[in-house]
Amino acid sequence: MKNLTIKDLVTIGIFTAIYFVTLSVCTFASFMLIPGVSFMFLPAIAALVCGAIYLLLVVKIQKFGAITILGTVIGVFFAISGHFITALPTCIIFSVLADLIASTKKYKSMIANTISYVVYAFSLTGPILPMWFLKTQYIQHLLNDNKTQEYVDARFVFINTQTFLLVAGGIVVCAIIGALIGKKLLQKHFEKAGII
Amino acid sequence: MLDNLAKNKLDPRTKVLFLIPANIALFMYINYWKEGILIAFFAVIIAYDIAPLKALRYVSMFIVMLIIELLLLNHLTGFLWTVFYFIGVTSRKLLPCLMAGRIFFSTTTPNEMIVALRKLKIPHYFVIPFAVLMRYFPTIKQDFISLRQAMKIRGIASDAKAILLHPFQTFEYLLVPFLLSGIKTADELAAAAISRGIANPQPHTSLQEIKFKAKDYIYQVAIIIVTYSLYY
Repeated sequence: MKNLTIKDLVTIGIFTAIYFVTLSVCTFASFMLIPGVSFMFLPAIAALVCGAIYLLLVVKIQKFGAITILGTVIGVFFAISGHFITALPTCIIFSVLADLIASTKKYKSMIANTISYVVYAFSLTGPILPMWFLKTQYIQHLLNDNKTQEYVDARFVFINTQTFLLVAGGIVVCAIIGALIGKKLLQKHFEKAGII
Repeated sequence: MLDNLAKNKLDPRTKVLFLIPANIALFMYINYWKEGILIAFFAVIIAYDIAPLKALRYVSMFIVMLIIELLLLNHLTGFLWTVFYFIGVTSRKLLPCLMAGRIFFSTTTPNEMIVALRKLKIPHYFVIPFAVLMRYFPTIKQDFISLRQAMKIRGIASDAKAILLHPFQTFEYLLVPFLLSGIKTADELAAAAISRGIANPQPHTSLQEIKFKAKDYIYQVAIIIVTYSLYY
């Protein structure tokens, strides 16, 4: 990460800002469209929309650290602004992984970048992780309250491992589509402008 | 500096400590009384340091969510139960974290955040992008408004119906200008920052001082007390 120049760091900062704004718009839109459970689908929606931002950042900088810093700064934001603290290590781990994956082909291979983007898309699942042990706690609370196991099962019918796997699969699919959309956008606008 | 003393501001590092009781309360299951104590703690701080009305808003949200869990949830099953479970239970458990976050962002200027990061010896690879993020963020909001106006003039995505009919076009015309202007700004901003000495390896000075004052220590003791009370 030592070879990131000041210009690179400023570029990363600006892209983080654009990414963050796009994320906020997605959060707002999904909150309007699917109230209540919107945050479970947020990583997928964000993955669909932010492909161009991610790919442009990778192409512009092409050094290790850009994705890591993007993910880490966003993670710090999540943790401080009121999501559960697991959002931070999740962001860091997945963005470092994504950075490593893309760096294996020196950030030039579209396939490596797409896989990297899919991995990165999971970094936004940090805020969803508390659902796991909030659920365990709540079930315990219900059982202590003399509710039966059938009562519990009837309630949690939509929140179980299958749902989580579905959400994870949705993230993968949306990330792949998002990367393709991003690539098309980059080819259409940025190659002509000579930025790529 | 006089400004700081007059407004009786908290050190940003103290505000980050608010996250500790808020997050611990999520890890362990706490009963309704302890939840109430935690919410009351944050509500008092919000009322004192920010605005009493905001505190009232959070408290009423808490009460509504509690009512949803205690009175409504028993009578629902399936999908409706899931929706109201998220609204009444999950969001309620996250409420202290949200309030802590609100305290931090409503009372800390970007400058203070940057100085606090530097004081914590965070490497400049993270401080500079963070500083750019905080400073550039308001600019984006302005740009967004002008962009929407320009789009309306040209008849692109001029109203909700047009947005729904042409979502990709809207998305494309919104995102691409931001990326293009962002790249241009990055070059200019980097040049300006370098000429102002951002690459200086010496410790940077700041007009605003960040250090612990009496109010910080009082709050820190209160945080320790509240965190301990979650356990017994």
